[in-house]
Amino acid sequence: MREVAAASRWTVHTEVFDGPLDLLLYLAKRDGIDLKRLVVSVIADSYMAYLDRMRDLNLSVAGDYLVMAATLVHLKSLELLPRMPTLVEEDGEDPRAVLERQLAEYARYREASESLETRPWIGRDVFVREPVARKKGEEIVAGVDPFGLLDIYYDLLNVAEEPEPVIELVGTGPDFRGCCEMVLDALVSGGGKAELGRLLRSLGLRSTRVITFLAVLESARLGWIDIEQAEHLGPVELRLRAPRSEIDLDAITGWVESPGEVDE
Amino acid sequence: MKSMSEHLPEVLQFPDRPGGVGAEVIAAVEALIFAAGEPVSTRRLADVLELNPDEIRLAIQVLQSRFRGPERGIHLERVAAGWQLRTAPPFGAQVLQMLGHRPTRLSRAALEILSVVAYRQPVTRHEIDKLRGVDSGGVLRKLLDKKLVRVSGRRDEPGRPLEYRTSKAFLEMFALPDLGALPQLRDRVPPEADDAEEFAGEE
Repeated sequence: MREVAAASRWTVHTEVFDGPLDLLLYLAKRDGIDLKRLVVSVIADSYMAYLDRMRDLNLSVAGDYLVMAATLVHLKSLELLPRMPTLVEEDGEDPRAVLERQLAEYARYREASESLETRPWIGRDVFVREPVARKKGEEIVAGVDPFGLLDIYYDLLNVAEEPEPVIELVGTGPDFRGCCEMVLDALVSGGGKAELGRLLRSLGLRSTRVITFLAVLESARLGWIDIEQAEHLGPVELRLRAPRSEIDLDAITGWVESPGEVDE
Repeated sequence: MKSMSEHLPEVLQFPDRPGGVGAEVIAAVEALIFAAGEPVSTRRLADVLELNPDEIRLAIQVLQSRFRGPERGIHLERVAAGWQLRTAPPFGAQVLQMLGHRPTRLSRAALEILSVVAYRQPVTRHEIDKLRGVDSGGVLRKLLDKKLVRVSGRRDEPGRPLEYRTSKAFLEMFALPDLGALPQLRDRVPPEADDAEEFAGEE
């Protein structure tokens, strides 16, 4: 057998056993060994023989199996030696009992997993409908739905049919700092609250609305305001977080003014 | 669950009698459970329909008994603390074929880990490994990805290891009303901490 394996030079990775306990359980069952009264010498021999066979077949033996092999050899050696009660007492407990209990414990969970296997599984035995609506609270969690923001952004670009400006004055466009200030002032005058859509629609120029939208994002980023949306596609509420007097507009960094706007 | 229909009070079969439940309530409950897809609790049904939970319970009993008929391909089941309509198990293979899906599969290792988490939650990764005598990290991660297991917190011990629990999806997956409905573990002995320590020393 060894020659055959050597000649074929195959390395086989297999998950026939899920670890050394699984293998021990199999061997105990095969050899009719009572888990509560392990005959270590018997099961250790079976275990070693099995590992040898795995090696003969050029199966890679994982470290966990070797640790168990060492434990079994150790237990077997204890079994062969005459008992020395003092030593056992010193250890507190018979290491064989520890292994027996571990095996028994593992066997219980194995049984439990087999009973899970036989239950009617979703996607195998039984099928359910997907929920029609989105789960409540799934995507609106004490914050804002980014798509809600995006919708408002598109709305404000499209909604008001803006008359074409007759003359475009360069350099008098909205300035970012000013828009931040305007947002904060609107919040103060609204008793600390404002609705984003209404705020933006109240502004005349599309460019001002765009800059104001960015100013809102910047203010939220700096922790000055909260942006909240209670329900999906619902109104987006802005709320002042800090007293206006404590807000330092010099903290604005999210906007680098273009040269064209600096020279105003 | 079978016991429910067997002990169905006679009054339910005659909803017009005093103490019965009206046909429209039964129909409304059926509609809500159908539309929800996921398990809906009695309380939620009662809130939406603005009815007494007892009325909802009666309506569910009636529905359950009707869905249990041999000609029904859909059953009303108690799952994850709610009520859910599910196809009848005998037709799993045919439904799969029609949908063109492959059946849900879980490896034996995955089922073992699920069992350990289910019965011993909250449990740490180290405890799972120790119990199974083999590394469980990779499979545990897959179970987290499938949302059958969730991280519930950290154990207050050195290293603050993560603690794992089964999720609501776990209950749904295995048609369990709650964790108490898990089959009893055979001759369950509460694991003693001392033993665990000793085995850890042997590893």
